[in-house]
Amino acid sequence: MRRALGSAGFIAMLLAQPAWADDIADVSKLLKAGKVAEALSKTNEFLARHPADAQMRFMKGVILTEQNKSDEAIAVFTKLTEDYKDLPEPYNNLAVLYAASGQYDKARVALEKAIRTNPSYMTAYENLGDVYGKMASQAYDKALALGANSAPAKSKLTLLRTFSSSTGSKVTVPEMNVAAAPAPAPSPVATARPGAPAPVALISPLPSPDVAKSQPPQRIPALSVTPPAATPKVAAAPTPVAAPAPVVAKPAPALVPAPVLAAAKPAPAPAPLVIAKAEPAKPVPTPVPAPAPVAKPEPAKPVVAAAPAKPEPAKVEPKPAPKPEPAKPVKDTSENEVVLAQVHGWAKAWASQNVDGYLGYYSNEFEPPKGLSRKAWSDERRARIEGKGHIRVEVSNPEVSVSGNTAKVTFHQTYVSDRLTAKSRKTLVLVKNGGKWQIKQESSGS
Amino acid sequence: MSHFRFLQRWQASGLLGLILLGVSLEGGVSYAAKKPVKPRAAAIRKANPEELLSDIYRELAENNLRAAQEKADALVEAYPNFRLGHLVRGDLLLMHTRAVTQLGAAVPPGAEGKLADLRREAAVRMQAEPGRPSDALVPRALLQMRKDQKHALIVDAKHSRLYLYENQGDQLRLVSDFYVSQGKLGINKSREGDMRTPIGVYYITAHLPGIKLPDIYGKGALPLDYPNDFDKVNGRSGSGIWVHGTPPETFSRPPLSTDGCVVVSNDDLNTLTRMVEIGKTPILIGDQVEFVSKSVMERDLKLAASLVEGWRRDVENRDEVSLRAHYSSRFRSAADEDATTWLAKQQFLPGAKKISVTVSDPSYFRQPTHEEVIVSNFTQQIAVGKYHHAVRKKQYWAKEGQEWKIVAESNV
Repeated sequence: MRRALGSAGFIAMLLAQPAWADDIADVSKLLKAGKVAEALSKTNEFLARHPADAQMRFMKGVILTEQNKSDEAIAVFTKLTEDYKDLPEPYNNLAVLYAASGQYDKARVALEKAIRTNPSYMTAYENLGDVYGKMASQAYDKALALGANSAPAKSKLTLLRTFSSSTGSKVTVPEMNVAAAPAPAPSPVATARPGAPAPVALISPLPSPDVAKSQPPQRIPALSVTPPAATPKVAAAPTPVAAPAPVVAKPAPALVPAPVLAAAKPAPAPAPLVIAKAEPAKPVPTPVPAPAPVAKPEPAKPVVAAAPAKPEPAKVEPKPAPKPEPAKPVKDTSENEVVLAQVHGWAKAWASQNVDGYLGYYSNEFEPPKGLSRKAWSDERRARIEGKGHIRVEVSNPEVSVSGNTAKVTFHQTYVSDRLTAKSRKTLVLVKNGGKWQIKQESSGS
Repeated sequence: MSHFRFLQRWQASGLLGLILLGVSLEGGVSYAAKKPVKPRAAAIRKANPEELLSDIYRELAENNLRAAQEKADALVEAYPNFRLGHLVRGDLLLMHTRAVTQLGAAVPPGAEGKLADLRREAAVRMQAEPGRPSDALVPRALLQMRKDQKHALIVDAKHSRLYLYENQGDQLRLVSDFYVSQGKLGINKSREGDMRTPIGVYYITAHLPGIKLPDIYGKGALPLDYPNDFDKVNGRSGSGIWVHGTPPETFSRPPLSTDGCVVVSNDDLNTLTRMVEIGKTPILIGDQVEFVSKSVMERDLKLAASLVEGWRRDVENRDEVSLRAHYSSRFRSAADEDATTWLAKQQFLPGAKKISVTVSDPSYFRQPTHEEVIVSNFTQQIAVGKYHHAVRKKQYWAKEGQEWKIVAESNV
């Protein structure tokens, strides 16, 4: 909790010099479009007016990194670490830059600082694991006098493009940085969704301080390139599924203001239809917490949409209540087994480094952490998984609860790779799509 | 106490050391959990790398990964070319993120040979401390040194160790001991190019400074008098057996890596160079280096002295048959003469009836080898009337069956 507050404090700090959502969004968009130089000039322009703005300065660092201007980027991030000592992200990115130039010792120090500012900061752990691995291999090279023929492998460290880290998660050593669900701070990048004024309350990079404080564990929607019509999304958002950030059940109240939910209900029929259009069309992460299970079941099938839309909502009616427990264990246990089998299949695909198979376990509605796009997230996962010598993933003590077309599985995950051994508690939220259970949310925490 | 017991202890502790390396952080790795350890001030004295290595293991045994890591960092800082240090440091770095169960846990494929060498080096270095003899024990090989022989070197080939002893007022004191590398194929050199290190009692015959030598010899070389008289009798060939340093790119070489030379680190070579006296300092090489109580050594010394005394008496008495009986049938002089020819040449004033023979300033060494050989050096003085003759002699006595026989003899 303390950590969450810490990040809330940071948000408040950021608010002192608010970057206008539009400005950041514009820069983001330029960056995404590959117009790096333009993005930089826009950033500089903004910084000329608001020189202290942390978000934009961070953005500038990211842009400079993209431009391979390592020294300048290092200067920017270094200054940020001086001005905002409690922020892990600038340290992390400094480490990425140092590692890229082979300065693993500096990278190690920076990551240790990142972790000190935020002990549950998963990207930093994963990066630190990589840095240790790199240092070890350098040491081995020296030990075995391999020197000459061993060009340093390309750094796999994750550069953060946003501030929204996994702040607040309680995992000691999560095995992946996906775990962010519980309490990411709002992401400035969320504004990449250009002109999305409606959902501001939900995904604005700069929620009002109150929001930030009262809902630290808010989940940040992914960075999305082509955001679907925002409004219907919001309507759909109120799904309780997103809220049940399992770990933080307490501090994470309803993710979305109840009123919205109410709004969604009155029009159950149209909602699924809208979603049906928006969702499946875009494999791109739905920035907004997935639609309710109500909408979920058959949004993909327009055919079904009309008829079942009706009965479904009725069934789910009781659910919208936050998350306590899915009203009642609706389904019989046979469904539990199906879900569990799916979880084991997921772990197996992961361990066998069958990345395509692994990614196939994730629903189209899956929300990548840290505001990553689905593609960026997939790429990162691919790099992480394929890069390992071997991986072992164990799922133990699973607890499954199925409610309608949503299932939640909580278990102990043991992850062992050639670089990292980590035990964590993991929660997967799965949704049933066309009879198949797929992962919609993934979070770590004890 | 027999040296053999030492061996067992050595092996056990060596193994323990390697297992210590396996200390892992299994069970919920936590980077943050370890309490931060304040970096200690770097030792002013340049600590020897083996002490630093055992410090690292000690920290690991106490689960202080951070402290161990700091020490490993300091180790490679102090000895940037100490490859074993880098290997251990690599393992420690890995330990931050995974279990490490053996030395060189994640060495890339293709380096198996080098890794095996480093593991052997680690094993023998780990034996060093527990194998160090207690103060009560003396090296069995150094039966008696001449007063003016200030130092002696003993190379324990079995444990890749060189012991530097100081001789002061008939007291032996272990000054230091060093890791050494020897021939690729071990010991028992018998011919040129067999990549083996000779065993026996030798002397340092020169000092060659490093600047005059190729890089491979490091800071310098101390040549040995291989092959000695005993080697020649046994038909052993080859030459150029030196104690020398390491090339700049590496702090040490694997235990079995030379063409027969004894290689030490450059730091150790400098130490040795300061200590040794050319032509005077003995270096005993063998695989049966034993550390025994003083009483055992005194018994051995009495035997060695009695051999020479028996020989002296027969020389004095001009008892040619008995004197001849002291010599082995395989005896050969440096000029390839047999014992009879050799003895005939040694006679002083053959016609004299009454001569007096004394032996003075003796030294006795026992070869640290399976074959029992005693090397005696002494000054023989013969007085016939007012004529005097003195000669420094070196004899190699070997045990043949139950008898000790002179196999080689020379006048120095």
